[in-house]
Amino acid sequence: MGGQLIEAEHVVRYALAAQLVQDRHVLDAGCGVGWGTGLLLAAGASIATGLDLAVDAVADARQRVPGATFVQGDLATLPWDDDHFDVVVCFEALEHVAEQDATLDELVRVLAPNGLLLVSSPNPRVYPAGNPFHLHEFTPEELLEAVGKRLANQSLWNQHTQISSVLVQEGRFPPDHTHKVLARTVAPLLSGTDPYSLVIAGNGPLPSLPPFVTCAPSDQLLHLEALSALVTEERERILAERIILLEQLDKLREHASSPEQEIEALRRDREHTGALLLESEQLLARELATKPALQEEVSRLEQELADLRSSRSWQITAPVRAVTRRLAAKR
Amino acid sequence: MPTWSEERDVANGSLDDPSDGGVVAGDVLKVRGWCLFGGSRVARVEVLVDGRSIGFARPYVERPDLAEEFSDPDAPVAGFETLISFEGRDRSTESLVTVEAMSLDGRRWRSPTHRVRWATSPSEETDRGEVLAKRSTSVLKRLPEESSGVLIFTHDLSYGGGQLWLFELLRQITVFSGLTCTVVSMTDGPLRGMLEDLGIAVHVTAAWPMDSLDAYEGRIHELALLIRTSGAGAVLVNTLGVFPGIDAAARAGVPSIWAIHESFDPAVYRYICWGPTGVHPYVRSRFNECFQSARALIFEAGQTAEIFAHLCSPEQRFIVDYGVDVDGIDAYRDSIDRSALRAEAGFDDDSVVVAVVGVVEPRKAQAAVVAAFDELARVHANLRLVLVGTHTSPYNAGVQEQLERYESGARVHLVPIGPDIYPWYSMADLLLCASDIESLPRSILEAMAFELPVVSTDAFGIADLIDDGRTGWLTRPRDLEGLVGLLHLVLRISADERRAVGRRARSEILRRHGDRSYGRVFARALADLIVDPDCDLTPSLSNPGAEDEQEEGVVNW
Repeated sequence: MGGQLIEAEHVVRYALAAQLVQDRHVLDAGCGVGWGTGLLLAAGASIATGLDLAVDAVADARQRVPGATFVQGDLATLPWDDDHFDVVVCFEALEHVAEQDATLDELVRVLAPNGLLLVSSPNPRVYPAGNPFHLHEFTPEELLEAVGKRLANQSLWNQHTQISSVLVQEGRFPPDHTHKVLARTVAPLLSGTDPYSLVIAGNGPLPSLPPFVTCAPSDQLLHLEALSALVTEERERILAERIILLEQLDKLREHASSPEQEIEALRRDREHTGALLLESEQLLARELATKPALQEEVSRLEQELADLRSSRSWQITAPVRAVTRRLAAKR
Repeated sequence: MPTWSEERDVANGSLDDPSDGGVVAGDVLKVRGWCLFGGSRVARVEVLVDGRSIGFARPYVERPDLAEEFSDPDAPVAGFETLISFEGRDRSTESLVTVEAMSLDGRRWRSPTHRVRWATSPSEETDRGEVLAKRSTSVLKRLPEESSGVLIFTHDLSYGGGQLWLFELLRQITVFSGLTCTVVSMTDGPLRGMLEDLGIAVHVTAAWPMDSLDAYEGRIHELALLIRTSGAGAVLVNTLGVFPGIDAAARAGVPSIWAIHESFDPAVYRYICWGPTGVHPYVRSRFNECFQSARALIFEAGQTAEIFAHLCSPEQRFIVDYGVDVDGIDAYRDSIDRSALRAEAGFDDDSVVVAVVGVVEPRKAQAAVVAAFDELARVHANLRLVLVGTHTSPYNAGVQEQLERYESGARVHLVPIGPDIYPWYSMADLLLCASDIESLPRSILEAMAFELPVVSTDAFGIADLIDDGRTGWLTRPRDLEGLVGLLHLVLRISADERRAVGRRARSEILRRHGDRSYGRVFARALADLIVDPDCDLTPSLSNPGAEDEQEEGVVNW
């Protein structure tokens, strides 16, 4: 996943679960290519088993994590006996399945009497709408209620996306490692701004876990110029697409078997395209509007610096600075 | 009080009606609430009943209470509402109601689910009504028979679409035929004097009583007496709410024609006009009966006729296009200097003027237009908006409050309701209609006759009129994202391309609506009815003006 934010979002869920799997028999339900199953195995799971509907994904997972077991199958009909696993995780899979109640029933059925279920979902109040593969996203309350109907004890975790600043001593923070760090937020984590929810549940007592943070490089936020260029390029693409869509509209009007529906869908596409184009142009307009202000601010600061350097106090303290430089060089 | 910055990126909302556990009286479920997306705005609001989508609610409805509470620019019009007819559906079990709003930046807000159940209907009391009706009929039969002239029932005489349709019709009838016309209206208005100038007598009466069996029956008897003593040989009823005119005509034994412009489900229409329980069950049964007793039901659009198809027979339904005064429009265009008019109104040559013509009211969605304009104004520096049809109403006040909060509000021009609309068609570069309920708006026909390109919702008959992309542009109602997206694309194409669409639109108007022969069609049908109440109306109503076309060389239909 290339060290992007999406990787941090996936890792944080599995990293939280990894604290609970030492010497446990673990199921990763909806494991995809087994990337998270590998993390659970590495965290000390005695047996790590992954299940996914996609045949290709399961084949890929077997190559990727040879120490784990992978099974192709449906989440709503799990091929195991009751009470089979100590820990069941189901991350970002529930929203993809049609039979969500049946899936939750199955996840609970294969869970040992004192086992733990960890299940997550995008929060539809925050998570961008329109993912065609998401059949139903659970609000935090819905997720808690759905799990709570099946297991006696539950705790809700809100997964927020934050920009971070990490201060480490040179060479003391190798990549791909978990470290105990002190962390603080500069603004409160507001309820209703969390794009994902996670519920830990079981019929026995629940573990007490500290918050977990994963960090990803923030350079993806630093390329506004590149973003502008992309927006412009996107605009050109949308305009070209509009012409194609209009041509398709003409063709459909002549040949489509159900022209009303096709035309209606194309009109929705056209309007959505127009709205996206407008949004892009609004963004560009805002960017352009901020540039003169930024340039003005830089000029003002440069002038202040020049004034300071030519000031009497700066000239009087010049020997002090020279001594300081020499001492620093000697050290 | 929450501020704008505090609310940024947070969605707030409420489903106010129906209340959870509430009991619904009548045939219609009202869904009402509000939603605000900090940092963005509502694109559309979907209503789900028992988990199934039943369409979009009308967004951008006035909420003065929220205007006081929130500083969000959209707060004055943060409401949403819709009416859902349950007439004829099973209401023995409770229903689950949820709404889901989506913002322009793709966020969603979902309401809690409210459970509602239906109140038991009161007894119908139809037997006693029938006794009163028979007694009334026996009295009327003793009156002498006469059959000349036409009595016309209408709702109002102010400057509205349905009122102007009737005025133009009667003007034509006086030109094309020797029929004597008398108008009976529930309320007065400026058209009264104009009708009297045409030699048409006007009698202003009062609203029909709907909530009492006895009062309704008494009034029908009075109206039937009026029909019989006026000597009318035929009755013409204008608009859906004037159905007592049809009932009275049947009581008097005089044939009637009913012109229906409204594209409402009948139960929803009754709810809007008279409230959830404002129509007595007996009156409701009379309302439904009127669809069978009228000799002909005249619609302007096939989609509107479809709404009432279950209440009448196919032989009763006719579609009659109505015309616009193209000659008058052309004469007006020849008489004015467009640039001078625009300069006088404060528009320079570079301004792109979008006009919305129609009484400011929720179904015409001016608040959504203003919100869409606010989005577009950020990138279209020369864009101007004109709302023609302002007046005093809570919705109008909501729109004005909205404009005061928007930076773009200074670029919106408000024009009160009045008869002098042509200058705005002349000055505009684009006509916009965002209505969610319309049959065939006169403003669109007139704009097209002015060669003004039109962007409109595809509500009912409008889709019949505009060929999307060729003679105008269409989007779906109650969807701000669609409206904004389409308008942006239309504003991005060149003025020449837009003008080409306007020219094609005018050709279409000349082809379908340029010959104002609908007066001739009605005159012929009414005259036939006066001679023979049982005559076949199909020749006069199904192919209007065909013979005259050949004689006059006019392309029609």
